[in-house]
Amino acid sequence: MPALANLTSREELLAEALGEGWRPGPPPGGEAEDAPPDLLPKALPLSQVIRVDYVVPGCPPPAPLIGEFFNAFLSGEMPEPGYVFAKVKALCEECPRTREERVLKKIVRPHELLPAPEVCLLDQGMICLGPVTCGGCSAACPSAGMPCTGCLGPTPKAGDMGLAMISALASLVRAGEEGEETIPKEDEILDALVDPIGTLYKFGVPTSLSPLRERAGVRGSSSPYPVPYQRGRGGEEGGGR
Amino acid sequence: MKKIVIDPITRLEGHGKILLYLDEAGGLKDAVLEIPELRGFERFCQGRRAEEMPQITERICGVCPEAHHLASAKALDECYSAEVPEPARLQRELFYDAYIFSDHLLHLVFLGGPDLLLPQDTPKGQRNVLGVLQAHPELGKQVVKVRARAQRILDLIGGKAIHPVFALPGGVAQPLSQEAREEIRGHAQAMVGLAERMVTFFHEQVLPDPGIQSLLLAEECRLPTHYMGLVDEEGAPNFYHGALRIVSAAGEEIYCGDAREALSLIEEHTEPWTYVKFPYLKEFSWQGFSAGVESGIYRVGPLARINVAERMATPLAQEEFERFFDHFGERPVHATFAYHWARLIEMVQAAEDVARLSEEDALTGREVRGELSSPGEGIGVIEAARGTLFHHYKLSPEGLVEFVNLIVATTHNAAGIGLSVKQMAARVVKEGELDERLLNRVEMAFRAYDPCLACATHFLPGETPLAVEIYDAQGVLKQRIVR
Repeated sequence: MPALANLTSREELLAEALGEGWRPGPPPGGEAEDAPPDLLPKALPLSQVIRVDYVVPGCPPPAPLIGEFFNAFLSGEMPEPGYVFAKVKALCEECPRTREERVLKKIVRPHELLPAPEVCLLDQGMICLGPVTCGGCSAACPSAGMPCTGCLGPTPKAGDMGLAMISALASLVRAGEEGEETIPKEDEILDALVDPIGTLYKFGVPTSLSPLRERAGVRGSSSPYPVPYQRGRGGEEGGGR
Repeated sequence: MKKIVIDPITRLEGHGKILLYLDEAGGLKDAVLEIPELRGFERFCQGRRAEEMPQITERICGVCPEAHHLASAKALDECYSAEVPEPARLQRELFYDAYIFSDHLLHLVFLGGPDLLLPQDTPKGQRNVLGVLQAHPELGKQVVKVRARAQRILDLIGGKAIHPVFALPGGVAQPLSQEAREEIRGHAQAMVGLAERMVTFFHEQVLPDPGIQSLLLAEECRLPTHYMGLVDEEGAPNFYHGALRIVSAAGEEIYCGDAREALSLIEEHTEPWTYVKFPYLKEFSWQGFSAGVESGIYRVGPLARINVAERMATPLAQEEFERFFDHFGERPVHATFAYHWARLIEMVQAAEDVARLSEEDALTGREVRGELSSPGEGIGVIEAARGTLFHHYKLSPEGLVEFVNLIVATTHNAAGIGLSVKQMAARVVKEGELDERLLNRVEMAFRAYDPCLACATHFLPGETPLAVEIYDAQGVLKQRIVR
């Protein structure tokens, strides 16, 4: 999430936080090396800086996933490096809410609606990233009445979280009978999705596809993980990658 | 000139570095606390959806996300001119007391615990939470169990214990179930039980220790500053809301009133050698790093809240509050290590308040969202475990964030922490040959504040082993002590 800082420049960050013209320097009587370091040009994903053997995703990682990691580690039966300790299937699969309509007629923001307790939040118009996010947290946020914001990262099938969600929304949006004349109305519905980057890439700016990746200065594999994504422990079916 | 670098400092949230400059005679010339990182939340929150702010700003910190979550929600309440309905307020307040309990317990036992609960100069191998559990196995077990129960309350109300999701402008996400309330009641009793036991333990096993007595009463561990904290109508500390009271180093009231207006009393000073800013009271103007009645430097957090309070809000906490002031025989108490004792008093109040609030009928009420007007500007003020926290936002007509300023507990304390570090360094340097144990005492001065540097500069938390390097006057590395 701190990689949202990549949407702006470090000069702007410094100016906003410490005022125009602030530059790091040593304390009185100190030497140049005593000065605090300059900010790095961009926030990078960990896997661009060090080799990541295993991924336990989440912000923070849910306790059961941490438990799975340690069980595997202590039993000496670790999976192949690159394994992601989350489910392959989407969060919706473990969500207690029921999905009925599969149609998006309007977009509402969480503070604008007290959602009905058992109905899918997307059905009620909230941008819930459940369909494109890995399972593994027992759908903690939708259970608490709030939409998923994607902290466990994309499912292997989704790949790029924002693009997958935009694609999902485009197929869900419905302003009436299908046809050319409803398209402007459907566009109007989708226009209510304000701050799409902050909403769809809250946890994925540096690992998402270009142009955000380019802005983050990240080159190389399009995978958010350093080695090919492995099948999650909790999923019975293979990943889509 | 000799220079000693303590980098990074351990058992705190975030990353800090202490630089000690020695003169030719080996005495302390200067000491600074440097915070080497910055993440820039003030900038990258711009353009985000307002209702996301409780969930974005809480990621400033892995220890006190609850404080940012609710400070943010309170700022949004005001941005939308919303009245928070009683059931939502009770959910927030109960949640918040459970957080204060849990966070204070974490510091008393795990972070500050090794300084407090183990004999002074315990070998480094045992000077950690495992050493504490080994020395006090029974209490340790109870602490781990009851802290898990407090965390469970955060989970039940917040949706997630770490990085909760429940607070929204004007209220909370959904009503609390009767079942959840029943469960919370049980946890609350266990929390009060542990709080009482910790008080007994403190008086029997911690306070009588001569090392602790010396830290509490020694002149060089005393730092006279002004103090700031929220109080309720009766003058008792309140963590969630209230009037902001500022008391001078001499004990006189400087301000007592609307907490949001108090933001205009503060100005921030910057230095090139650290990413943290130094707030001070405008009316005294910035006079450099010096304490006392003439200086604008003030402190926040447990000791500050106890110092600005007339009384505590609950009976057991009140008893301990009286013992505290009897012990020191002065008010305000300026002893920096009294932060630990003040933390204990507050932990007792938080536990008792969780028990009280869990009985409130309205807690499970269905009305959890207040009516929202068109978005504008708002300031949210809350007492984080480490002290007063301000969130100030301006929103666009579409409810997107246009301006953010955050003044965080450890930032208020930054100047005070630096001064305490310098005091302790001077004391330690006098004692002769510097070794790892003596340098730990410099860190102890620092840890009394339970500082959260991640919050102070809104940067990423990290913790790595400590290395101290000592250079001679020519800048040649003479000694490297690794923990």
